[in-house]
Amino acid sequence: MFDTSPIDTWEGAAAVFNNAGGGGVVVWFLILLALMITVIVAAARSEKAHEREHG
Amino acid sequence: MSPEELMAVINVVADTAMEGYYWWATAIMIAIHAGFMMYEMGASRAKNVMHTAVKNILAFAFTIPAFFVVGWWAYWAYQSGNIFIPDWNHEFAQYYVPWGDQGGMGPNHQDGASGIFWAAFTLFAMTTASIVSGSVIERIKMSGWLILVTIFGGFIWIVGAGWGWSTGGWLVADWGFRDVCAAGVVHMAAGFFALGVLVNLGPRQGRFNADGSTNEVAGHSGPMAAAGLMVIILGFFGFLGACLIYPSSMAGTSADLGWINIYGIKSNLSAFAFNTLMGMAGGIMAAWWVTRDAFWMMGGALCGIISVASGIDLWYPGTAFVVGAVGGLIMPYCHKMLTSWGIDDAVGAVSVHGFVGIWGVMSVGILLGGYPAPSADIPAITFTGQLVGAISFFLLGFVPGYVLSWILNKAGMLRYSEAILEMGVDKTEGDTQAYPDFQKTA
Repeated sequence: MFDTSPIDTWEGAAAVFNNAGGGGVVVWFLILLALMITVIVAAARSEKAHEREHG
Repeated sequence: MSPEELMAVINVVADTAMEGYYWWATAIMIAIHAGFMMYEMGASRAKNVMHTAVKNILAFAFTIPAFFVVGWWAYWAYQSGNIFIPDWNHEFAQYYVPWGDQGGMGPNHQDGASGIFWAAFTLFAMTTASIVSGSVIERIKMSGWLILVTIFGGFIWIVGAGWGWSTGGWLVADWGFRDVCAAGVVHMAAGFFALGVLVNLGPRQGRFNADGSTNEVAGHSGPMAAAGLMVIILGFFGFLGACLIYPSSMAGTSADLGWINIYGIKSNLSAFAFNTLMGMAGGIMAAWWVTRDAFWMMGGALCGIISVASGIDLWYPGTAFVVGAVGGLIMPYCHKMLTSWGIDDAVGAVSVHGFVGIWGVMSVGILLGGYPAPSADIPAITFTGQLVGAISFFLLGFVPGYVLSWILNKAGMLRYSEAILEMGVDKTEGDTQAYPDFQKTA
């Protein structure tokens, strides 16, 4: 499921994004979104902590 | 070799050359962001330099996945003449949905165009973020900043690109709007988004006195800002070059037509070269003339490029020089007007990109009215069409910028506390110092 590489053969030039629409793609996509949100939340928490410390 | 075999070889050569062209245009565009970072670091006080750098680099990192997730399919979804609701059923919108099943958003041996076009547009998206970035230095919280650039760079500006930077968009199809190198699509939208944010963000600490008078907040390095400006200009050659469509079968253009602009009108790099350089020179000269200030003279270079951008493939170079000069001329007065309203735009981005962007869009309506469109069902250039476009990009930038920053402000995610501003915001981002060997901290 987590093998989302689109390339399954190097024969010719016919390889396409053959896992598009699969469950693995959706999982990696959601992880991408979660990581972006996590970094923003971490920044906000750090800023709050500094404001508590320094006013 | 048969004619068919020869044509196949020609197509392969043209398609791979097209890939190479946009690959390197994208690489050159990264110089825009290196330049903006240098420019903004130079304009920051020493205690805030590293925060400015981190802010710019993270904006870079966030805009890429945001534009992957939303931006590229949204561009196509606004090419059906729709204004607000994206057209999910547009053929290319379906193809480019990153979670979809058609495979447009990933390696594909049969599609050598999608990735490099996505990359070029991603760098356009980053440019919108970098334009906003300079205005808000030295006081915006990183969390709020990242939310703003993710939403604006990943989605909002591309709605305008769908409206006015494609033959299917309503501004083009209904009004004949023309903006070849994005004075409205990129510069106006970003400049006025910045204005919307600045209203809620407030000024840099020490910029205004209680009686309403102003203080100059000098950056820590004029040379760094000057060098940054020259790097931005280098990057804009990549930006402008990527606004042309390379002749190849994979780009959907016929070889005998040659270069075309984004509206499908025959054009070439030679026209772009004449008018970019002439406009830039006019902007520098005029800004220096009216300000005698090194910082604003540098901004004049961008004003010149932005002023000629909408009609970049049409101007006589002497006209481009004058149009660029007018941009450099009006920019400092627009900045003074904003300052008199209590708006602290640290690098003049609202004036350079927003107000001069209006001039860029409207100069086409004033001086190039009647120039025909590529097909009979699209109106020719008119003053009214350009005006409708300018109003649209003002609203597209300002309203979301104001609303989003208002929400972030209410959530306590927009501006650092006055105590932290006094200390220097570098202290909040990894406790770094730009110049630890000789830097004092408050």
